[in-house]
Amino acid sequence: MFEWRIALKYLIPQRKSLSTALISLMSVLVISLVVWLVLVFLSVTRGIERNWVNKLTSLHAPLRISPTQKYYSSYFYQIDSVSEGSNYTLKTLGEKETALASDPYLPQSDMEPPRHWPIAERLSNGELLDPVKRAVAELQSLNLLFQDYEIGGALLKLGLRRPEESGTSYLSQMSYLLSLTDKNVHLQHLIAKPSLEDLNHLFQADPDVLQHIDKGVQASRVINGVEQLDLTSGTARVYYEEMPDSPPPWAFFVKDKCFLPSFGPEIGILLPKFYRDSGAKIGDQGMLSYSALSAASTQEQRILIRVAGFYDPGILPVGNRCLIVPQEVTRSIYAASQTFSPDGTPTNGIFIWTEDPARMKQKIAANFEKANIASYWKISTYEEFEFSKDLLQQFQSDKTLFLLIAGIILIVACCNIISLLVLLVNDKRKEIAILQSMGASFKSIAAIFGLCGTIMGLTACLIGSMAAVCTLHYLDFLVALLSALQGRAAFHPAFFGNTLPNQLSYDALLFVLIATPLLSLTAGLIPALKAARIRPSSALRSE
Amino acid sequence: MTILSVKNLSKTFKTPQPVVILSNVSLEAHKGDTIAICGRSGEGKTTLLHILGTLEKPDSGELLISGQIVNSFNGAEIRRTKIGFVFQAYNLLEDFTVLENVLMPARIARKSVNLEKGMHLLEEVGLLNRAHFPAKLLSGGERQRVAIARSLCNDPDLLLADEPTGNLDRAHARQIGDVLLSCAQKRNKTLIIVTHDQELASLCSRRYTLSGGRLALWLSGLCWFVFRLVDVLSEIG
Repeated sequence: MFEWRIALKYLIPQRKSLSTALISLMSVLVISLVVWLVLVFLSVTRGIERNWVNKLTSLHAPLRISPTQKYYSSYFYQIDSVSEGSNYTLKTLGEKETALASDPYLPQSDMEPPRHWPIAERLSNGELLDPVKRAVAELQSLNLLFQDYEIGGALLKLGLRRPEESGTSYLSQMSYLLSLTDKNVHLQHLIAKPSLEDLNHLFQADPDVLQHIDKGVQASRVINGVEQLDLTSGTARVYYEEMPDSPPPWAFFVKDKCFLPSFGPEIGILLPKFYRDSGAKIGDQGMLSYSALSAASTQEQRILIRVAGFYDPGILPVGNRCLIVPQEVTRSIYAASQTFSPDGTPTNGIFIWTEDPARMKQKIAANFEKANIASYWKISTYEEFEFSKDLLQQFQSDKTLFLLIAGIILIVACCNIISLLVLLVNDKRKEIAILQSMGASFKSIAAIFGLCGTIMGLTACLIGSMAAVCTLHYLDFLVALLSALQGRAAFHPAFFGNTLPNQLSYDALLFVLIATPLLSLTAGLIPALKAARIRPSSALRSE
Repeated sequence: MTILSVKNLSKTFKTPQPVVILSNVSLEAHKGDTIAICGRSGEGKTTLLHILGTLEKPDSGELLISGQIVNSFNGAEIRRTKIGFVFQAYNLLEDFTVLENVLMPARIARKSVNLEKGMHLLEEVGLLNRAHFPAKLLSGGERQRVAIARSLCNDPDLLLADEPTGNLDRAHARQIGDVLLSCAQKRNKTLIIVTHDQELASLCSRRYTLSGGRLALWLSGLCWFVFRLVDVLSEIG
């Protein structure tokens, strides 16, 4: 293809046309810079978004099923409150699933329900339609990993007893209680391992804890004139093949299942990692208090707790106030009084862990439709969760905005190609006429300069991409350098994690790989048309 | 066989004062003809050659090359397949080698590039040893030889030469004239040369004079004088 040969000849810098070569180099460098910027920014933001979504879907699962208003106003749900078999209390989904009878009401022993009581939805055989058992059966038929959850509310009062500070301070906060979804395999990544400080704190209280610590090294030290044995190193054992005879005093895993230890009347709970920064340690004791309505008054109920670990709540707006507790705690609170989440998050539902939530949502919806229970359930993906929807949408808007800005910068950068190629066309006027005299067509001449633009765009794209790959490879070093220059962390770990994500975003790469050559080609078209319209006769005559 | 047929070609340059360059010019050239077109500077010889070579459009008239009517759409194709140009200023592609220059018309015509043919053409014009030289390093005479070789690359029916010896000294002009004519005659090609060089013109089978926009067969100096006199008298009125 002679157009290709000519275009390459024109683009290779010649000593006699240094100014053109310089402009050409500048154009390529500017486009490379934009490509580099787009790739690095989009890769990092994409990585941050992925991390956030991972954290979000690790704790809350990417897919959630929650009961609709129809469920709560149904005979099926309400009937427990007038049935002796249900202890006259409303039941959670988990309790409904394990209940022996779908309809616990016994007309002969239970009192008559009030007038305007919801009408029972019954099957053709007269049995009560059980939307919970049916939903569970449908989810099982799809081989999904799922678990019901409850959210409750209680006041946390935590005592921070520190012998070395000779006193106990208290920390109180109204908290949300999320039931432990022990089947969640992602919990392993969310729960922080006990630190050496935690281990020492536990060791001081009970030296037997050493049996759960690997490579524990002890040394004595004197605190306030008292000699004390301390751990100088050691790693808490968290993973077990089978249930240990005496469980460790922290959250642990048997195979993939998570367990919270209990200490007599005290129940082990997980606190958000923010509490650790506030001085809480594993082993700290406290209580959860909540109100329970009785026939005559409201009574305060207390549950004794002990800190069994810390977890990363990610970016949840209520993350710092969300405790993970065993399911029996949330069920007790649920039975006593119902909690409503201010952001509209359903306080009872089913978490489903799946790789492709959008597709699975459609599948489940179709199955529920067939099972006649679709109206009882709302199926939401993480993008629709009340607490994350706005954040994810904002993230998407920011990305779109940046892409738009990047596109505009790229267009401006590609405009350099127009000036360069116009100069080149003027410089090569005679050669263009010579080629035309040899029979080069309008299209061929236009193609030469179109190719020049595209080659420049592709070269810039390649340089920019390579620079972006290098930058991402050494991102930690660059961030450290930036932090050192600023004298503080350049990127706050609470928002961006301990390290910035440094994986190249293939979407961003695809964007620049398509957009840059296309824009360069478009930029090359104007000079290409100018070149193709040269009249060979006058160009040859002018020489 | 008629290779070139020109009927009533006219061309006027629309400068502030319209200048008639060609007025009802007709010409016919057969296979193997060698035609010289002479005339004073500014009489429109190059314009006529450019029109014959489809580089410029006439205002009116008909042009057939190898039986094909030239129109607005087939100029490039006719140049690719049927015409070879030799210019006074050589017009080589400076950034390419001699061989690449010679083979460029084949590349433009999307023909398979035959290096042997290129070398053979260079041998014929006496530049085999310069095949891989950059064109910009050649002397004037050598450049014109390359231009002749290049014009023959696609084996065109019609060779058009615009003052091929205009930039050369007498000795080189003679050599180039010989090479051009011998190449054309050997291949039985139709050659039209626009030239001031009477010696080169005398070597052609036909010789025309372009004056006052009209093309006339060259008879003798006296005839030309009479022809011009008639022209001047008709202008006076």
